[in-house]
Amino acid sequence: MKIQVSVLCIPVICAIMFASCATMSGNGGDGVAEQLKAQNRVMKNNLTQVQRENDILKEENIQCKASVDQLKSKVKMLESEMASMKKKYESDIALLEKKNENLQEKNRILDQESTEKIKELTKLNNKLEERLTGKIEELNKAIRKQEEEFNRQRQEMESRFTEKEKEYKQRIAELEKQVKQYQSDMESMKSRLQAAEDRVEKLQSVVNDKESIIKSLKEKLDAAKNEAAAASDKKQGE
Amino acid sequence: MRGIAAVFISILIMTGSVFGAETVTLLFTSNLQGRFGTVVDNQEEEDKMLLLAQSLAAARSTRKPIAYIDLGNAFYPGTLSRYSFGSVMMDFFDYFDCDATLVSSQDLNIGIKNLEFLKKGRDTSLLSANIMDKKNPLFTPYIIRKQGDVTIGLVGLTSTRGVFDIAERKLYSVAIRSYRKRLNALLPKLKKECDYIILLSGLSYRENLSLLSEVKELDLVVSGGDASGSLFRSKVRRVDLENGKSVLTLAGNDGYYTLTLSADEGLRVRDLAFTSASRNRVDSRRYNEFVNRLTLWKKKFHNEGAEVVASKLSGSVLLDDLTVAHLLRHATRSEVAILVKNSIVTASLEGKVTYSDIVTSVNNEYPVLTYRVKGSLLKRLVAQDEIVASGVRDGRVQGNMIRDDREYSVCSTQKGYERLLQLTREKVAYTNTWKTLSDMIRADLQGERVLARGDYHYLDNRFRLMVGVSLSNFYDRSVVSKGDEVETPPGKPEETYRKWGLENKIDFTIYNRYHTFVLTPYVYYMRQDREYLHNLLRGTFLYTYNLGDVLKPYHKSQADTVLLETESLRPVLMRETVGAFLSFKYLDGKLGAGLEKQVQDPENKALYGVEAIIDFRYPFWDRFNYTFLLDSFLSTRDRDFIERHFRSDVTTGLSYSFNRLLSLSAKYRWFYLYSIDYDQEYRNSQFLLSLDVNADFKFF
Repeated sequence: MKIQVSVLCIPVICAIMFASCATMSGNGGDGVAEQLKAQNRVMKNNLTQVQRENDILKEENIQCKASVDQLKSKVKMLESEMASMKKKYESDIALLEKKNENLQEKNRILDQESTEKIKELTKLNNKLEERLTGKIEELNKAIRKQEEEFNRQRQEMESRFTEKEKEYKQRIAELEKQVKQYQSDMESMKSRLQAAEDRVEKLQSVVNDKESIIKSLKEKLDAAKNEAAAASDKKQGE
Repeated sequence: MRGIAAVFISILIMTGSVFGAETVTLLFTSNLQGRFGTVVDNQEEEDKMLLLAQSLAAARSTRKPIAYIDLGNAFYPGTLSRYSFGSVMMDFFDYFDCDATLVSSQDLNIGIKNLEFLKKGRDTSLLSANIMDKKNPLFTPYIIRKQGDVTIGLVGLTSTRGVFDIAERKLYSVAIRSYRKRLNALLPKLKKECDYIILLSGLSYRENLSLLSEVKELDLVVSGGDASGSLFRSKVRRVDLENGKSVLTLAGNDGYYTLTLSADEGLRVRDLAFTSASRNRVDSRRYNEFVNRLTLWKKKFHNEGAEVVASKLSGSVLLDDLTVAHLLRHATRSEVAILVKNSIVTASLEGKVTYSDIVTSVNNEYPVLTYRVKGSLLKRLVAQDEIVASGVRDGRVQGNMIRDDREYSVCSTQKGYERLLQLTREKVAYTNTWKTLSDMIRADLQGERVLARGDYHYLDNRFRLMVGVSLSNFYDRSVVSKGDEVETPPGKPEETYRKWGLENKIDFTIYNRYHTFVLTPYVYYMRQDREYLHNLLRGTFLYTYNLGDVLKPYHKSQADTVLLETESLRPVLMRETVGAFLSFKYLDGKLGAGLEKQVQDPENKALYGVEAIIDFRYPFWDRFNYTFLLDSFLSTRDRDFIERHFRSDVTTGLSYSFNRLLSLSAKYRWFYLYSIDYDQEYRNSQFLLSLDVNADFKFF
């Protein structure tokens, strides 16, 4: 029975071996250690990121501080400049105020003088205005007269023009009538001219005939003359 | 006259002033990858991100957009952005009035908690509706913008390609949830607040088109970041659906996009233009402040990066994916190390190595994990284009063909592990080293300097121990009660019996590139009540020299004895053979010659002969496995081969695997012995139905 048990132990041992090997292969580990390692990796990454970003922000902060310091010193410088300028401003103001007072005094005197001058000038101006108004009125009257004269002359001219127009229109009508008469005369003259031309042509042909007859008669006459001359010569010879 | 009227109407439509259509302009950037330079000098003319900032500032002043949105992958892998954990990139967004950036897969490299930290104190929203911490969205799911009478909601969806850092996954319940469920939960409420909804998506064209056609609340999808814009192997910028809705993919990363929309009965795309980043003179307080902050980051990076990690390197050290994979294999003692391509930006280190050299080269800050995978899965993993593997050459690991059913120790960063998980539904247990590639490279350069060795063949010569356990047990108890006169029915047992048995084997394999030592204790014990049916205890020691893929010389020592002494005797049969081990895909065979001698109870003369061993295993239909095993020894005592003996053990079986460990098998065993001493034969055949436990363990 002991032996039997030991034989049976073999598969059990194998199974235990198998089980132990199976656990050896692992599954990435679900244990606490693995969890901690995972947490460590994540935290490490986060920490590195935060540290690096922090370094950059620190650097930026330092830059900002430096620029703030620069600005502060600039402010100080500007403040001292402002103080000295203020002093200068105050002395300048005092000086200017004095100048101003003087100027105001001068101004007052000038004001007074100018007021009087203005009064004088106003008076003068009023006089001139009055004269100017009289002149203007005179001129207006003259203009009105001229206008009336002009209107009358224009009306006269217009009535004369109207009469002339009527007259010219009548003459134009008469002339047009004459033109028409001349045109009809021309037409009748044209037909008569044509008939005359026809007759000239006919007469020309008669003339031509007569000329040819004359020519032939001339020739005959010449021949007869020649014959007569010959006969007379013969006679003389004889 | 009609022509003039038509032109007038078209101009009115173009300008959006007819029928009350509002023109809305949005600016987009995508895949910026935190590409800040690290040099301060002349940065306003040469730093790509500053040029983009200048262009954006110019565009903002002229176009008056309703919003400026980044479509994701903005924080990674730019060196300075990585160094600042995305802080400098977030400043970029904050200073240049980016309304929101979509959280994409690459951005998760920064870490969830780090991204959460970036949100604080900045006006730019990190947008994702489907990254959830338990039941609450971790980031802003949507933002709403208004222009005149038009209200537009912009919802962000992260692609499921994102990988959370394993530490964060362990500590928090963050996950990328189903985008459909999230949209269904958000959109009805959002639709009440907005006239139009634009989806900002990192999903593929297929997913986007399906969403746009099925979710009626959506008016437009603008994708970028993780979306490459590939459709049927072509790059496509815009796809219009029949209902007038559009999907846009904005993948350009060296400039910005200007999208002009006409808001009427729906959102219609009027114009989409890309403007490359170029030099623009910007004189604003915000811009100058950002330039100052960027300069501080660059200076800080230079100060920290100047720390000397290692000096006096002999010769130049090439730092690339494969070399670092070799280092991983060395450091973790794994058989195979894999890295996702471009985890390391190739660099040559000489003389003095600084921290910035390492940071600039390493493009993967996930922790290194070790795990074990079956050969079949390993083959699929290393066959991927994106994977660089050390330890696997021509389908072999340490000079041996990868066996589908064997486990291999693998190490990779979390990214590689996630790739593995995409190939299998099974959970793959892992051990976390809690070290990153940077940590390992740094430690190596300060210590052993494996990276400088150049020759890594020694890794294949490392000895490894593997234990294969095969347990097969059965128990049968039959109780018979009958009267004295009753006859036993045919085929039924005569009397009560108890039968039990076990066939257990453990292979202890120590091997390297050239040598394999296998020690195998084997027990085959079966008894019925007090009678032994089988009582075999066998020990085998096998040495194989890995000469080639197919033919390998071997030496085998085998001792057979009884588990329990019978009649106070413990006979021991020794067999010593040498021969050739042949290995094929499904078949292993041994053909050898040697001697067999009973050395105890009683001692006999040695028999000289040849042995032939065949081990054929053929898996089929996923879970079934056919096996044929033959172990035979033909021997003689004389040279004339007259006193010959023959021993043969044949097992053929069919098994069904329930899972990785447990299988049910039906076996037929046949034993044959012929001895000239008696001129008689011994035959034994047996049919067994058993529940088997098979497991392989690799210790180092």
